[in-house]
Amino acid sequence: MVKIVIDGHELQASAGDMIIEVADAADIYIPRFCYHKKLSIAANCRMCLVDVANNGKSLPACATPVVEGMQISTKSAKALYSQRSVMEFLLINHPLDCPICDQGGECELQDLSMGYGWDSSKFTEEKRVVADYNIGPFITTNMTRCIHCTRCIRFGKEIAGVQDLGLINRGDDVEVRTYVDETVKSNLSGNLIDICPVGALNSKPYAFQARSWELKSTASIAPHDCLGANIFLHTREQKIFRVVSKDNQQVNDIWLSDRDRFSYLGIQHSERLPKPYFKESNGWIEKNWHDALTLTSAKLKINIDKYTPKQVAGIISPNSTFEELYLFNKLIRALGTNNIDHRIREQDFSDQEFQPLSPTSMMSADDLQTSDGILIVGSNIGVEQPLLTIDIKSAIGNGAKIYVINPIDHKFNFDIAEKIIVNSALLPQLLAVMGQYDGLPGELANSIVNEARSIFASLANCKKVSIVTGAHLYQHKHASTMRVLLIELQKQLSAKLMYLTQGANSTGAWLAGCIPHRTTAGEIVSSNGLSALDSFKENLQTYILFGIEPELDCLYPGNAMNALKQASLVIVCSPYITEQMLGYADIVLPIATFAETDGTYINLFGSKQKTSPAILPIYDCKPGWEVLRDLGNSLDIAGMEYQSNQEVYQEVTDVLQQTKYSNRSNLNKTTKSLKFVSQSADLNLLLEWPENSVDCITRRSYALQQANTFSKPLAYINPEDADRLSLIDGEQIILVQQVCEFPLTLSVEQYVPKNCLYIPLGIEATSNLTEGKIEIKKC
Amino acid sequence: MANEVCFRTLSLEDPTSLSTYESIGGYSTWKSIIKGELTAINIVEELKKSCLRGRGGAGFPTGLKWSFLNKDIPGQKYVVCNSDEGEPGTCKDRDIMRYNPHQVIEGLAIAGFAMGADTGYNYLRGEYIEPFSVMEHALGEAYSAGLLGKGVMGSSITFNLYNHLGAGSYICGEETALLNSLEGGRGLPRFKPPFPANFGLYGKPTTVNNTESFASVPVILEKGAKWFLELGTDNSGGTKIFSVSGHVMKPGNFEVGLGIPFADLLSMAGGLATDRTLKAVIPGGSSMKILAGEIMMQVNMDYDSLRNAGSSLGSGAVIIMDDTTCMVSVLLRLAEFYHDESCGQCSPCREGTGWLVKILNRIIKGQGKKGDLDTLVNIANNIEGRTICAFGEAVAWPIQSFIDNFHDEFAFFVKEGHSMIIN
Amino acid sequence: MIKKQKKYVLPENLQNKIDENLKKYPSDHRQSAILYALRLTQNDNGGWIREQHMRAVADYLKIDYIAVYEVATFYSMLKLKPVGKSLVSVCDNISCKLKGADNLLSFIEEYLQIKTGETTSDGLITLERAECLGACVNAPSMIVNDEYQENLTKDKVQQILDNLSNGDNH
Ligand SMILES: Cc1cc2nc3c(=O)[nH]c(=O)nc-3n(C[C@H](O)[C@H](O)[C@H](O)COP(=O)(O)O)c2cc1C
Ligand code: SF4
Ligand code: FES
Repeated sequence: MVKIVIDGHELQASAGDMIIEVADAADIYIPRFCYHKKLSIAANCRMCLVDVANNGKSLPACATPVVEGMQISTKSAKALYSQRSVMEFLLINHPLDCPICDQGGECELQDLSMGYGWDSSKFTEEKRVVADYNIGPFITTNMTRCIHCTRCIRFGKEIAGVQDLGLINRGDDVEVRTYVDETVKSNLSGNLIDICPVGALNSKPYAFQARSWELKSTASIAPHDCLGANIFLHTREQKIFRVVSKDNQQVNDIWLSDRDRFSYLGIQHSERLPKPYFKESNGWIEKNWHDALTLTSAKLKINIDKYTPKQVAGIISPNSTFEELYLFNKLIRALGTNNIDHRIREQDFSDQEFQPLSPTSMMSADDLQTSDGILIVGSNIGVEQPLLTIDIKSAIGNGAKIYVINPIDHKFNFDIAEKIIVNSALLPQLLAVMGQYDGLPGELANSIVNEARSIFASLANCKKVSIVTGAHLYQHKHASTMRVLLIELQKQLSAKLMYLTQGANSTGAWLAGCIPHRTTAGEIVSSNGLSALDSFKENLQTYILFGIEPELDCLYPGNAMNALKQASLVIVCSPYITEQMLGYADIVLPIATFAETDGTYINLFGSKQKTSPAILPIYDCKPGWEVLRDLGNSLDIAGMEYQSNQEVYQEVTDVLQQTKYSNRSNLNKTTKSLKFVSQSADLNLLLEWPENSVDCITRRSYALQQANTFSKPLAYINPEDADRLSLIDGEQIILVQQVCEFPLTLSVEQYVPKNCLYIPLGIEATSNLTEGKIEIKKC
Repeated sequence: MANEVCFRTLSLEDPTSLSTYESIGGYSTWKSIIKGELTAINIVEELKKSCLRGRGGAGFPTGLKWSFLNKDIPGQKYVVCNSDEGEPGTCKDRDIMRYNPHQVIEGLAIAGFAMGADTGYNYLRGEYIEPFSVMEHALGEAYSAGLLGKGVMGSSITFNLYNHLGAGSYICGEETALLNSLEGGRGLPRFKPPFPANFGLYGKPTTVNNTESFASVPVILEKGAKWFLELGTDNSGGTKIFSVSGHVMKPGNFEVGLGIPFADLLSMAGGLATDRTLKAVIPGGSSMKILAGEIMMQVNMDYDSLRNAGSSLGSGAVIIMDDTTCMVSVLLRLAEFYHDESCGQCSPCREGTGWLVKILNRIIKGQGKKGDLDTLVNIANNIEGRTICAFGEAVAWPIQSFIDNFHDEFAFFVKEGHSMIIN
Repeated sequence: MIKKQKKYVLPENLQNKIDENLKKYPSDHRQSAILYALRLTQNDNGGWIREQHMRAVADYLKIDYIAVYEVATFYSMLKLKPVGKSLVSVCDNISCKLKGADNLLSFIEEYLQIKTGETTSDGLITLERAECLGACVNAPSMIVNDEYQENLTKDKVQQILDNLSNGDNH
């Protein structure tokens, strides 16, 4: 520690801290542009010049480390003169277009020029004009306004891990640009809007929409992935204008993924359903809520009477609020069935009895950052959880090594020490080999076995190991085997395990009881109900869907569609109405989106995060919890008379607290039934959702769709398989399954493992895919 | 006496060859190092005594600089030779490399030994293709003769040297920009601290010296610090190569003892054309302050005298201007140079250099305005001292000193719209 | 539908030269060879660098495209726009200016019927103004196709230009 004096205040600081950090901590403001607390130091804007005793020149506060006894003045005549002269240089070529600039009102240059500018500039020459260019759907460029602070460039290198932007030319010809005319690639690119201190990089969807000072700000949660980034929704007159990040060190820090930032564009979409909608003999008609509820409960009762409660299944989106999940559970169970599930993207539930109360990770983001060895198993983490890659990068910055085991060679925005890519059928074997498990079919090549052992050895040498797993595990045919082996591995390495659960509120769904084998708080049910997939395969009579579009949201959507089409009653609670829905639904009840209601989401670390409504539900939509409550009441279900969502929350929390649940994981039991499949000669399906089509809201954000990757109707295979099947890149093919055929375009890619057919779900082209054998036919 | 140090092979037959160099004592210091007859401490002490000051422009004592890199601290270190030579008026390093390449190599090898660096790079400006091939050839000879490489002549000493060609950028002469360029990046100067001695090439401790500084070292160690010191003056030891250019009859590079009267240097360069008088001189490369002719005629060419006269020895480029010179157009050309060459990272330098050119251009076009001269000086003052690297000063000093020394001439141009000089 | 374009890759002789150059630098600092690789590619492709060349160099050195773009636009000897068969770079900085470089430049412009920065209509010669070339004691000077030409006079310059116009590059 050293003692220094800034503007007469005696301060303690750690030697080596920069003056600006010490001043910031003491609330002494030093003007700055290039300095940003999350980025490396550039010291190029020269705005932060201060006066340090015994130094002739003014020194940059952002790049001058403090030393014992340093006397600093940030506001002496000399310091102010330096700051003013720098400000003058910055302004000479800066356009005077504040009135039409979206940054107006929140522009660091505008703010500072008030405090540090001279009244008038001596500059009377012509100003520089810089050409703008298109860098994608999220960001406008106004490069004449750029002050070359290079924050955006450092952001790319240091945070996004993708260097999209760079500086070209030199002197006053320098320009911030992407490579030639490319668009930005990072899925964290929206942060550039916040990082840029001026109006050079601004939000494209927000362009010319509103002035920042007219907007109302509401804290909320982005419910598109299991992290639940903290956001502010900026609104005016019941319209959402933009989303910005809300600082939360434990969750998203100051950053947002593009998915979280631009999903709001899907909320006020033309497919929003204005009123309850009913299929009648003469077509679809709108109803008011009163009639709708009466009619719905009546139809439901009739159907249950006719076909027994066992013919009812309730399937809810894992992106629902905790309260919605709890009420859904209450409602479905009261109908006399245990067929309830939220696990719409899973197919192996054989270990469900042995799973813990909830799939909450046994670690925090901080644990990830401080690990020195990280093993990623079965996850495209950069797409599933873009923000967690920032933590991984900071772990790497501290010397961590990253190892990857994946069924496809995903590109990551961080450096990987070693990776093993195998056909997904072989993933369980690979994990078993790593954990030195005996009794394997032994199909892995020796080289892979050796690599796996070497990764294990490297991890065993680490002090703190984290294992992260995600969608490729959840969707796996033998997910339960993989889960058991991962726990084994975790024990052997004394590691912590992080589950990138599917959806925003998987933990909430388990706790609330939206699983067929346990009800709220893990209470075991008398007889297990059907999982989501099984309930579709069983072709039941009645389905109640909440917040999902099965054709795009479910694994094997074809099975779902077949079941729904044959059912006698399909009730859908959804914010949107679609052509497809009109085909299978009988009743559609319009519900609010996350921005229009309050609720709670429990993220992968187990944090309960609350939202408040930023706008009223549009049209006649109702918050989901109200719809469920009202339906419960009109079905005469007891204990559904809530006045507010808060009451629902209170009740479920009470139930959780009263239940003395033990940790129900008893995984040793299952080790006997580990399943290892042989890799068959058939093409093994590998499915993945495009990163911006994860739910009904993101799918409707036009900007997200423009930036969506992996959303084209393509089927990817390895070049060797292509040769074997005499197929060529770019060729039209038809995928054939029992009764279904669907056309796709073939893309031959080296990064796809052999015997693998890799295709996107969540898009129309694959919305008929069912479980089972698949073949490629030439057109 | 002239050409005794860096140019000592100049008058010999085949000056660049290894045998010529060895015939006049070349590599003898390096060989005694290999034999273990010289220690790193000896070398640094001798350099300190010689009063050799950096020849790249800043004049920092070389011995002192070398003492910052401790030989005994383990880890990778580098020595880097700055042959970027971009300062207008300066063209001495080119000739050292073209005519005495082995001495540069030996100087770097000695430096490597003295500071515990087993690798050196010689960064040449991109245009120096000919010096590059001369250096490459000499390097080949030195390797073949076993003077460089791993475990030189069976000793435990290793030194590898590589030539690296730039691609056209003055700022790459600034030592940290040079390191960035050598790493394959844009030539952006780094802010200091950390200094290269702690965080240099590839983040490793590094010493950067000018070509002439390195080339002086073997001779100093061969003939002794005292011998060298006495070639110059007390605080400016040794010889210096002055590149005398501009309005002289016989421009050229002259290696002479520091402290030589300017008048003598002028006559060595053939003096002015008969009907001309001396108007002004920039004594140390375009970035140093210009001095009036009358003052220069009284000055000796050493670090202290020039500083006392209000300028600097800089890189030793002496630019002579006679009475036919229009100061306004010369200053515009210099301003254009700095505008072209600013790396563009610091706001004052990036924006200020363009602003200066715009105003000077307007003046030259006859559209000067009242207040322009004050604005020019004000801009220069506001750039000076507020930038990452000394380029800021390099821009400011010519502007300030030209207008200060020739205010009337500038004022005339602004007012009348044309030059006061009629040719 | 989506057809992959055929990619330009560095020809083998350039790759070999770059490999040789890479030996100068630590193996984890391949980017150090960037100026060498770009100049080599430029010389191999009529004196200027096209987008595909930047890509090829980036791929070969295993660095980001943008990193190559940043560098390629920083150095004055790297050309991202077409140049003539011969490149004439005339210094008119201070020492050369004092020795009449301005007149020389106007003379060349007139003789070639182009402005500084332009290329003759037959595509043979591009004329550019250079910053100080480091040949100040032999002013005025210029570089023609990498070779210094010093102590220039109008006659000497005319001779050189005539040779270039006759297709003689040296
Ligand atoms: C803008 C600028 C350009 C420079 N150009 C050169 C140069 O071309 N050659 C050189 O040796 N030093 C140049 N320098 C000085 C170097 O930064 C550094 O001080 C020098 O190489 C150190 O070597 P020395 O101590 O032997 O002089 C330049 C400095 C600045 C600020
Ligand atoms: S002073 Fe100029 S040249 Fe030096 S770092 Fe700053 S912008 Fe670059
Ligand atoms: S904030 Fe310190 S130089 Fe920019």
